[in-house]
Amino acid sequence: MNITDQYDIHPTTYNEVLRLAGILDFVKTFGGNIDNETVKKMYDYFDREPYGKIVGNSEGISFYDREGDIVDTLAIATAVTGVLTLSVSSYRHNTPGSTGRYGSFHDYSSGGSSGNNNNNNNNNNNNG
Amino acid sequence: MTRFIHLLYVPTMNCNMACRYCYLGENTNELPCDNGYLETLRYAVEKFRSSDIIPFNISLHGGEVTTLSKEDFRSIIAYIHDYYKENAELLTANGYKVGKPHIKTNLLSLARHTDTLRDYNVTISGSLDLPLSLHDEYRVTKDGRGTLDRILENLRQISELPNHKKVSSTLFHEHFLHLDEMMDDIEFLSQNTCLDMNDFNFMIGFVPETEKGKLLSAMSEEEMVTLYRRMHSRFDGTHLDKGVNGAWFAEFTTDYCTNCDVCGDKFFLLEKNGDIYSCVRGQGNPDFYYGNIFRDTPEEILKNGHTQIYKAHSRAGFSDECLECPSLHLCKTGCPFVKTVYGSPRSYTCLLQKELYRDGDYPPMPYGYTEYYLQKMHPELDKNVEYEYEENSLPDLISKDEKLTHLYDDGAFILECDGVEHKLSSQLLKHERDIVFIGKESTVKIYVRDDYLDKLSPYPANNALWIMLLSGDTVVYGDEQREKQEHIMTHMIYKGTLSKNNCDREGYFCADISSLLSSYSGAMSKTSPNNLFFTTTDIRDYHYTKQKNNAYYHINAMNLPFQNIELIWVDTDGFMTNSPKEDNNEHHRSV
Repeated sequence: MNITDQYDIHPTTYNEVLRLAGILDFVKTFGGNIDNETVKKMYDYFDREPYGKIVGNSEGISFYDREGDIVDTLAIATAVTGVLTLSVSSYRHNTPGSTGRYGSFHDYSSGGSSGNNNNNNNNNNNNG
Repeated sequence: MTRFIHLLYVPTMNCNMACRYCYLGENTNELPCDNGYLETLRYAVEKFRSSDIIPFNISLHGGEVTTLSKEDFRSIIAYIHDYYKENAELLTANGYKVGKPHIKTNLLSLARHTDTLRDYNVTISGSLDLPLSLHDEYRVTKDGRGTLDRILENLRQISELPNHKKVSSTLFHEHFLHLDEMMDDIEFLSQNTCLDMNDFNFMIGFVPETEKGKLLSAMSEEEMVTLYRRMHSRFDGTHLDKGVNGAWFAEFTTDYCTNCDVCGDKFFLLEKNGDIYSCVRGQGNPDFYYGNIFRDTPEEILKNGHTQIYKAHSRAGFSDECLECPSLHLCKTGCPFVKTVYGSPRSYTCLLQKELYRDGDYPPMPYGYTEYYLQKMHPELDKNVEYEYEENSLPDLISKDEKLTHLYDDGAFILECDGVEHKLSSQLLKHERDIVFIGKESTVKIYVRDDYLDKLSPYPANNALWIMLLSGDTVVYGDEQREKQEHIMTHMIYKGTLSKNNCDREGYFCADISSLLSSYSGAMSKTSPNNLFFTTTDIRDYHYTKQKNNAYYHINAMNLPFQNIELIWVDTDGFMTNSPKEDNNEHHRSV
């Protein structure tokens, strides 16, 4: 069964495809038990609220409209750390640090959160 | 996209009273040439509508609107009445109740407009001080006489009108000292006047520093809670149960303007001269001024409304207490104007609101709400905070090195993906990952601030924008045998080339890298986010030099420090079903 049939989502425009891809990756990162119906709900939500956001943390996901008002919440337990914020074209994953004035941001001693090891010691000098 | 706004119109600053605590002060004297009361409102509404901005509510405030002539008052009321009638379908279709003309009034000259009030079913919200004994002390005529008897007589005269009539009372500490008398007077008004005391509002007064020690003082938060509890103790279960559990404290609930994230997106006060402010609180204050309808476009006014209020919240900061509060989603830290007056990040009625939320049937905080709110309302919060950095930590090293400060500048790069803007910052300094989804039809542009290639560069002409793409897939290499993201490509664009490109953003150079990314799509990871970095050749050189010279920096900056974003390449052909149709989502094409 292909993905579009699995979720009963059939994008017909380029942007709808990107939207679906984003939601599926969000769901993968979020973990937990997001069923097919919920995935479709998330996809359809951005038809109604193209400027809205879907926010998820370890307890569940919430739907916000453009003005920041809460539209819906779903309790879904997951082991994800931090908060994922999904918009129609991208998502952001905030992972809290252990120190810092506001408790959740910019723990400078722990370094970046992307988990990428990508040092590059090649020193290709410019000509001239 | 249609926007709906709440419009409060102040047709005149003239007033027939001289309340001792009036917030308008000397401004209650009318200016000469008092024409066009209706014309300003009509012009404003038509101008807003031409930009698809629709007032869903038009109410009248003052000064005192009933000091207008009978003809001027009637003409404005008739206009509003007709407006609601003509737009009833539009408002209803968008979830708004179709209102009636509504006025805020001191009730002193009400009776002379009885015909208009009746003919257009005008709803009335009056102002009274409670207890009534203080009304005559504070709410006086210009020659200092009490007004209560005349107001009560006016209420008797309009009692046969079917219009909805209510009052509100602003309370200060001096009013609080007479709680028993206040409650007796609420009962009196309910039993002996036409006022619907179940629709009565308490408003809590606030006192700027410049007014402290003068006439009135603000209630403490504990006094507000005592007021709330005493009212409930007296009126719960009585014929005023609905009021005490509803409208009396409505200002502090989620239905009020203070519950907006940014009230400047929705609420506007229009003065007769065309000036637009946030509301009656912000009226006359330059920090809450949005523009003039005769001079500015509606788009500019709405943009200013958003910006001014956003800035007010930002200036006020965010309290540690709010960070931990389970009611943040209900409160949203309160009125930005009062927070500005008090220089406080918290709502001035915080404790009272907590009582209300505890007693009411409110939903619990949604998942991830605090972080979401902070992202939206205070994304730059840390920049306003002076940390004491641990010695030789990365921020410490950056703060001591001008070139490192330049390297880690988070205002240097903006990546625009399919019309959506992403400001880029170093992955070593942020606790979030932004992941975008692009494909073969995506438009991806990088904007570089135009001074970034010059600053601290020995030879700017030889400096270049350095673009690196790393795969989400990893390899192990190097002397340390560390697992690292695999390099895909590096691309350079020299400053001279960049400067010749047309750029649609002032102060920036621009490069369209859509085809560059597309040409490497086959090499990108299909399962993990790929990493796209931006820097300059000179900055990159300095980074490696610094690594060699400073062991602390090397340890802290082992991974690439440059501004970045993560991306997933989507094979859109694999997803597309049926025939492609025109994509009408305009938001993809604009920031």
